[in-house]
Amino acid sequence: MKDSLFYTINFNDVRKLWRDIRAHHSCRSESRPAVTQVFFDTFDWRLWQKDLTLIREENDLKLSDVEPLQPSLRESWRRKAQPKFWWQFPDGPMKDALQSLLGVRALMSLAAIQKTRRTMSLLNEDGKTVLKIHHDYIHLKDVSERCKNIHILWLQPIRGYKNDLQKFQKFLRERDLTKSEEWVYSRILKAVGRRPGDYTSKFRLDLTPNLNSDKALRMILRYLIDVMKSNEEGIKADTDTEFLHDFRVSSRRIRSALGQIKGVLPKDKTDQFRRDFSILGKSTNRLRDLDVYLLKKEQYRELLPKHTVGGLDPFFQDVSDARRAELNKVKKFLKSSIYRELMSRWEEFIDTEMGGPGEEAKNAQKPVFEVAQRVIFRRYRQVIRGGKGIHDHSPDEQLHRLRIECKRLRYLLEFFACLFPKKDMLSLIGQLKKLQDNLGDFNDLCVQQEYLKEYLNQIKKNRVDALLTAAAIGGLITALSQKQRLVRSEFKQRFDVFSARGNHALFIKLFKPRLGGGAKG
Amino acid sequence: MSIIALYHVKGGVGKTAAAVNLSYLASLEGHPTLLIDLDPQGSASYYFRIRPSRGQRTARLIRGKKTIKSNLKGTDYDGLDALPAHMSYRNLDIALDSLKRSKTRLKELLVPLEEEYRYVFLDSPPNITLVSENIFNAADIILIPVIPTTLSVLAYEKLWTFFCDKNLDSSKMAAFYSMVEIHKKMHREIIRKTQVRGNRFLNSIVPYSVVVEKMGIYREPVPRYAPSTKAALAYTELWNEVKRLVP
Repeated sequence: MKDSLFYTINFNDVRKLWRDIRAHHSCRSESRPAVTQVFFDTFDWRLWQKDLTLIREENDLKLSDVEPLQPSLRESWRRKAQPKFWWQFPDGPMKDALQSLLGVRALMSLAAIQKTRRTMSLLNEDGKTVLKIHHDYIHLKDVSERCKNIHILWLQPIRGYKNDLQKFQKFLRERDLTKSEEWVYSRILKAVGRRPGDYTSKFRLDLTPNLNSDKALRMILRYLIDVMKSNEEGIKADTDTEFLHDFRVSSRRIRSALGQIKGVLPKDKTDQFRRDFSILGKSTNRLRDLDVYLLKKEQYRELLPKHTVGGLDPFFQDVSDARRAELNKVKKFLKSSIYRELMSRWEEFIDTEMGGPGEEAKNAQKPVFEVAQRVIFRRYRQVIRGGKGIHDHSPDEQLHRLRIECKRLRYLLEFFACLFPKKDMLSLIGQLKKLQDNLGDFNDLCVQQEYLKEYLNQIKKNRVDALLTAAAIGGLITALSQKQRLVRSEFKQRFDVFSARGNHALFIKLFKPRLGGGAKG
Repeated sequence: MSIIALYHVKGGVGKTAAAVNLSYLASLEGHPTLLIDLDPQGSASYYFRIRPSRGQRTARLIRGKKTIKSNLKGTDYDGLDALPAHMSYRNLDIALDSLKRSKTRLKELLVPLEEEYRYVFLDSPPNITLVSENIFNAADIILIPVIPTTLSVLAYEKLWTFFCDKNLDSSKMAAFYSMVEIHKKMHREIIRKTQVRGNRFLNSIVPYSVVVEKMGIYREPVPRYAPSTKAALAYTELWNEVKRLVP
């Protein structure tokens, strides 16, 4: 960031300063009527991650850098509804930018402010503006609905008049005005109780190598349950499809952690919870599947020749109707006493310390580093064994099993990433991801074809569009099956890369348990 | 980046007024805009109250020894910058003549501005010289203000001939009526005739107006100090028409 041109100031000082400026400079002042600004970002702060924010000001949308809040792209937005997804925008640079920034995530309003700006223009002997000084008076309601005001002084340099800027900065220094250390946007967010970056779908947790496994596992589970809870509202409000996705991933991670990290928590309890979370996963399976079909709409349409594409419309209409019904079921489930009870029972379990030594499982007191090494290495060996057994004519079932093994390994690597050198872990996870992408695509293509076949059988023959729809679905199945063959043919090469000597050596170096093996530095 | 030149072989036809007002209107829509004042008289610079920096010399500029960027000045309006005129521009022809590729130097000069500006306006000196040929080559569109008098229309037609003779791209040319006094029968007649002939005239007509003349007093664009006058509306209409003609 360049030298800050923002100054924090309180209201009384502004009045004094304004008088002072008038006394020492030739200037002109103007004020603008108050405007309302609403700030947007996605739930996981995708704009903030790129130092951007989207602002709605009356009928204008501005994609701005967060510092200074100056728009780099504008688009008019005359609708009453707030903007939500990139595909709702009119074609243009803003839409293109948002497509890559937001992906499938929805924009959500974070804060609304009222801003009044007074501007003092410093003039030279020609009456030309050489520097603009803005006083922004920002008015907002904080978390507890109390009114809050922020005063900011902002110098806007004019190109070709650098000397005048420097002279004025000196003028401010002589008056002991301090440069603002914090971004205006950060201050606004803080005032409304939002912490930028407070949610990410990535697993981020710091553990120390010598921590008791029991404690560490509880921390991991606590983190995951918090992620689930923070996604509930978004699912119920149907804000976007990622809330459900993240919710499900977390629930799967919990199940996976309980199943893989054994001997740390009491077995009878963990078995019960694994069953419960499995039910929870199943109750949201169908909604996720339907989401995926709708997200793939454009992709599917592109697979078909133009004259049969129309046949997909009834299909997507049916999917869309089914989704609506399914969403209601999931909403009902999240509000149900079964779900609430499971969650509170679960939270109570992970937050309660174990009683006496007799109750403890055998690995509870072992350092987490040791346990991590052991479970990761065991899972890695299983992946390798599974992958080596797959040849060109192996049944699909074998690839599905490997996919699940890989997923388990991936979760373990992510849970314990902080215990091992970052560079190595990023590399291993990256390699594993490439293999998983191949297996994941293969599985998705299987599931999708099954679903489409089932749909094909259900088409009512007396429907007017039955033939066209059947033709389109048939075409789609063909295209997907071709794709699947291609993906299958790439498996061996992907697996060979993953199991290559370098990776293998790294797995051994990092995870193979040694007698008296020590922790990272 | 679209380059829009304002040109006429005669002075006093409302060329600079159009350049200043159109560039202001472009910037008002949020497009980063630059006005380059190539007329040594520097009227556009005067309207924007800007003077050239010390060291802004023709020779240095066109030989590329000093980048054009370091000489740019911000106007009083956000998103609108200008390159002020310099007296040494009166020798621009001689300086250009001594160089290779003397007819495309200006175009080359503008390349580094590509990323920064959406629109660049060129206010040209009133003559046909090497400078004007540079302008013709650089511009995406050449706007020619024509006062509806016999001589002015004739001058415009001569320019057409010049373009054809020099093998310049005449499809870049677009004229509009300027300083029109609609109560004068002759003005009405001439406008009607050219409309019949469909002679690459834009539909917008900028009226003769005291409001426009006052630009010299206010030293601001018309839509700034007299936003709801006929003149301001005429420039807005003209801008709406022009922006559809350029890439």
